[in-house]
Amino acid sequence: MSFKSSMKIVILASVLAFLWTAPSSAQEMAVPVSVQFPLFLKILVFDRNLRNRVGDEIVIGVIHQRKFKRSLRVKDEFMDVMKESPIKTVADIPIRLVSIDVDDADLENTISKNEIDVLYITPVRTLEMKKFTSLSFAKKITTLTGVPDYVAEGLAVGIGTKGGKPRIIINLPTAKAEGADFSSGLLNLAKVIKG
Amino acid sequence: MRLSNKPLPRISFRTIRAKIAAAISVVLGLISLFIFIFFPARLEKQAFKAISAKADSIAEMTAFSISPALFFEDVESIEEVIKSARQNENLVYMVVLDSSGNVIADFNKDKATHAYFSHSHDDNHISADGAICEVMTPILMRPNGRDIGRLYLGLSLKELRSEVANSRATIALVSVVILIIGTILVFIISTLATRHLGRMAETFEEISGGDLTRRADVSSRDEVGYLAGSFNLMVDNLEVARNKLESLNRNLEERVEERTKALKSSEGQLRAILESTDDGILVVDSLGQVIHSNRNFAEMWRIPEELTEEGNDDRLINCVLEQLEDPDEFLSKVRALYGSSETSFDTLYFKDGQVFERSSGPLIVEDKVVGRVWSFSDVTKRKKAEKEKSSLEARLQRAEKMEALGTLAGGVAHDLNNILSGIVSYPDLLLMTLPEDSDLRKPILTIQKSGQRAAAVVQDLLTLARRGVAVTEVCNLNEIISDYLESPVHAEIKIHHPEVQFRTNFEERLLNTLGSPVHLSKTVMNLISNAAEAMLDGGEVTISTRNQYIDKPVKGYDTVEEGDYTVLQVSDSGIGISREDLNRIFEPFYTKKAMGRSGTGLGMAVVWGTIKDHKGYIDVESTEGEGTTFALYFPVTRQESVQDAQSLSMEELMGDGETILVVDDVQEQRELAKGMLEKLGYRVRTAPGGEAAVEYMKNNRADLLMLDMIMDNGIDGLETYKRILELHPEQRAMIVSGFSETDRVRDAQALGAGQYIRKPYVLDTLGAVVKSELKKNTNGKISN
Repeated sequence: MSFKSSMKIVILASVLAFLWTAPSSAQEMAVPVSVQFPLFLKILVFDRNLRNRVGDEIVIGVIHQRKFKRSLRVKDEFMDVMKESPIKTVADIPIRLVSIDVDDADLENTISKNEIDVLYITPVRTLEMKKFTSLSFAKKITTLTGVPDYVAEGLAVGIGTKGGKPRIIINLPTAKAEGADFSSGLLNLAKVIKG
Repeated sequence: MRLSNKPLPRISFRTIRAKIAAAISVVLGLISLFIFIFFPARLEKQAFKAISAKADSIAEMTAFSISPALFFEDVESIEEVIKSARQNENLVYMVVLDSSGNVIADFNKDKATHAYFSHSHDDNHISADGAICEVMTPILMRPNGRDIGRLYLGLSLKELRSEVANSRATIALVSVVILIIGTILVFIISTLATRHLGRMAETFEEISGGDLTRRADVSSRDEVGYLAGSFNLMVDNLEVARNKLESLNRNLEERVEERTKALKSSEGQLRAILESTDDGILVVDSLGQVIHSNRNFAEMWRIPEELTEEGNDDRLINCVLEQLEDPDEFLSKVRALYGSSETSFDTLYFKDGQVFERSSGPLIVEDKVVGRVWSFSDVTKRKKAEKEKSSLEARLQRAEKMEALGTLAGGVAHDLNNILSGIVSYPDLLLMTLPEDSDLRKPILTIQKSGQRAAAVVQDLLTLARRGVAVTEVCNLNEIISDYLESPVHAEIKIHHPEVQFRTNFEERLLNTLGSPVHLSKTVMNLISNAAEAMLDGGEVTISTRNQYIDKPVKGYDTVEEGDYTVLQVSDSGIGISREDLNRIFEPFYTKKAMGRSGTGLGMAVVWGTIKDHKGYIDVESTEGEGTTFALYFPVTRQESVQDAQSLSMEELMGDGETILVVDDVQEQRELAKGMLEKLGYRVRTAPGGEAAVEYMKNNRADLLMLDMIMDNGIDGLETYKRILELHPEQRAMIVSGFSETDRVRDAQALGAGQYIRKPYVLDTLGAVVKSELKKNTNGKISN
């Protein structure tokens, strides 16, 4: 069995598991992290401005709430998927994950100190996405999320579903404000929120 | 007048119009063909390229479109794209494979499978059936360009082919139309363009035919019009020039005519000058080629006219050389003079006896020797005249010599004849008185014969001097020769030359001649004697006679004139006479013989004198060592011999008392004659001279005059006779003289005087002549 075939099975299983276990709320992720992660890496490839923004590595800050279990769990899954994924680069730029508890640190300093290039927003409670987008706009950081609603709320890229299949959601104004320049090919595939 | 004789090319289909039309039509055809071939192919190629590019573009765009979907494995999106691509009606198939070669999405996969699996390469290409343009494009992940899949696309070329075919047909049609229209247009344009040219060509032809009044009638404002205008200007100038040229030509012709006339006149004069001379003139160039010759040259050298006209110098020179005695010498001299500036003279001797004097001088033109002028002068006559002159001078010398001798002899002879008359004539009288048996008869006869011989010697001298009186009798050479051969003189010769044979060959019916038998006999004797003496070792002397008619003068030793002759010829086989001696043998006292042996040197001189006295000619031919032939030509007489008359008896000689007047200035002669005549029965009267005789005859008559021709004092016998004839026109007379028959004697005979007898005469002779004269009528004719 080829890797691809394995990956498909994993993806399929994850989807099924998610669908079986995922709470039905607005913070709900449409697809499992294992599906999100490779997709996000692919999506980043379509950012034509990525190389201009990142340095020698793409630092992905995984925003989570320690106190929110689901967020923590998603963070951990994200980190695990990262570790287990054979794909360690985006456009041949190595990636590094940085876990960021949004409750603990001065988010701005932490982002700056870790030279975060991309933020992955796990499901969070009582936080407005503006908190993240203000920083992402200023620091030109692309925001990713597995929660489709967050995209509508202002984050740049999310993963939803359509017809049982993952579907990319892009908030185009946010993406542009964050300095991302997604190719039309990606945009053609994605659901684009224009404002 | 056309300046060139080249014929103008006839107008044919190869006109400018046709050429232009043909050329452009060909070009159009080629272009059309090119267009028909090239453009459809190019179109097809470009269409295919376009299709291929389109296919590439579609594939790339599709790949580009598909790339994110394929990256995200969004098959639905991929299929959407494919679906969108299917709007292209030419799309035959589309297959999307991932990087593993798995088909992610496809359209008309079966066709695609047949299409792309049949090829081993992934380049764009045309399918085997040519119906599909197949494209393969990698699907690359942007922006890093990672190959994430392949897109196979097939576009139908059917439409393309159809369009290409349509295009080709259209192009073909357009090409044909263009060709046709182009050809027509070209034809029309060329016709329009050449229309004026054709008219101009016609005009040019007329002009070339000499009509310079014609002009090209083209007024178009284009190159043709400009050409026509320029041509018209040229023709204007040409016309002016021609007129000038014609004027100059006329002037030149006139001048040429004048000069030609002058030249002809000059030539004519020159020719007239050359032809006027009697000399033959030949002008040659430095190579010896004949430049000019006058008529005399050809006539003198007897060059045939056709040879002169032929101009073959070799044949001409051969004709000349053949006539010369020494052609080699002539030729060598001629060759030596070629190119020379010397003047040369020479004498040319011809085989036929002609003699030319040749002079030659250089022909100098502008101080340069360009040839030679040969001048030939026929001096044959002059040379002959000189020769004759020399001969005449020699003869004159001889004659003067003889005349001197004759003068001497004449002076002596006259007296001797008179003295001898007594010795010769008186014995006749004595014999008439003596009895027949008288012992004195014989001595008296001897005395008479001696006297006659002495008289003969005197006659020889006179004959030699051409002053002796020769008896003019009708005599026959055969008889004279025969008498001589029987004479004691010849017998003596035969004794002196026992080994010499004498042979005769007489003409049987030899004609008579008038002459002196004694002298003729003497001549025969001299010739035979000389002939015998020329044959020291013996030989044969041939004496022959013949009658001969000379129809034209024969040039020999003497020139024998035309007439009837009786010829005496004496030939010997002796030593011959040299050429030098031949010219002198008739000179008096010129002899090779020893003096005293025989002859006194007068023998041949007497022969010469005798032949001249007899109005004859002598010819001598002699070759030293072979012999000599003398031929004596005596004029023939048709008279009968008077020998018969001289043999009359005394009774027949007696007269009848006729009166005879004897006229002689010598008394003894008068007495002698008187005595004889009276003896003969005539009545004799005498006159001492011519005047006395004339005086006598004034009052008297005489039956016969006996005239002495030479009378020292007073008039001679001829004058006496003339005067007497005035008194008595029909007076008969006879002439007596001691000299040879002279012109005066003949003149007297022409007046009517009768025969002539020479002193001393014998009774018989005197009687016969008197008898004969008295028989004649007063008109001089013998009466019956």
